[in-house]
Amino acid sequence: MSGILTGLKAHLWQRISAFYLLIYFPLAAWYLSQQSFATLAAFKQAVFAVEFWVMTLLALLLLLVHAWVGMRDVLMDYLPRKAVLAGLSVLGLGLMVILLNLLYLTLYLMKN
Amino acid sequence: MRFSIYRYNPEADEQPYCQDYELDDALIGDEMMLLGALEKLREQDPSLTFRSSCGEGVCGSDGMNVNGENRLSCITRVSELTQPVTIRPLPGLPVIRDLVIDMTLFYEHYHAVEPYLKPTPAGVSIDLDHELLQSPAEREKLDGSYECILCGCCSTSCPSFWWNPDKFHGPAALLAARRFVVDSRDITTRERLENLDDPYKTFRCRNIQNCTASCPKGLNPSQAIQELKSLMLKKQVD
Repeated sequence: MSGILTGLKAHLWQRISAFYLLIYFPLAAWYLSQQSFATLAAFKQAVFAVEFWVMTLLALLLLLVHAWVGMRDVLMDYLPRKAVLAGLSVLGLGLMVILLNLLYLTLYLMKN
Repeated sequence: MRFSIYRYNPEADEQPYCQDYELDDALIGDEMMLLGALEKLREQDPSLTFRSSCGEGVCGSDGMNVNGENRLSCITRVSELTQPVTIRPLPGLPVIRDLVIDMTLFYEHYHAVEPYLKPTPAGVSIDLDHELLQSPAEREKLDGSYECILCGCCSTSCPSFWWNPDKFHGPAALLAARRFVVDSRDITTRERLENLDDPYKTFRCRNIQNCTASCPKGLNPSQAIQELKSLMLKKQVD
């Protein structure tokens, strides 16, 4: 029905991402509270454990989606009509930079 | 009883202003509605302008903002109001004069949702020899939507409508849209939902629920909008 993240799809993605983040954050907090961070190696082992890192990466991606829909709504509601396109472009660009950073970080970690 | 009423005559006034009026308490009965009080005030000041028609909450002509809430003056008891009674036009739409607003935009949104039955494919005329039958259960689904009198109290109390009045359909039009989407006799449900699937038309609704709180007929436009969203999802999954 709708295009990329507009109308119903945006509405759905906002809820799906919210649901995932609602589950992720308490679980992540619990997991990290069980770990020992006495040494850098222990910290790396805990944070970059494959299952946790995949869950975290997914959470970060969904956080970007959630931020896009939420911020887009705020900009559409509050910005003067003429400034909406510019506002959305800046927002999209900012989120894109974060996404690229995440991808770079993932590739870097996979190599090392 | 004291009143403070918004006045604006674009032909004579540079700025809108509030004018104070005083109505003798002896003229106000326990059962008197605000519309009656306004009519008494208009006897004092014939230039005071407001809309009214049926006087019993059916036509929806006399929507106005009374002490900060959108209400119909003909079914608002004067004795229930705190003084001074502050009366303003419905917010969010242009003022023509005093309490009279220009509802063109409101009606445009109403027309945009095509608020009429489309029981046949485009170009095919309806067979007038046969009734369009509906079961009692199907008819029941229309309850809560068809009673809308288009007074505008809901849409003009909605911040999303204030922010995007030209693009967001608003609660009244979406309530009407829901009424025809769920009607078993209409065959354009999918088209209707596709037309509504837009970040502005429907999805500016943020569940603020001012619409439901201000509806003088006790309807629930907010719930109707949520139902439209659910139906869009259901149709997409089908």
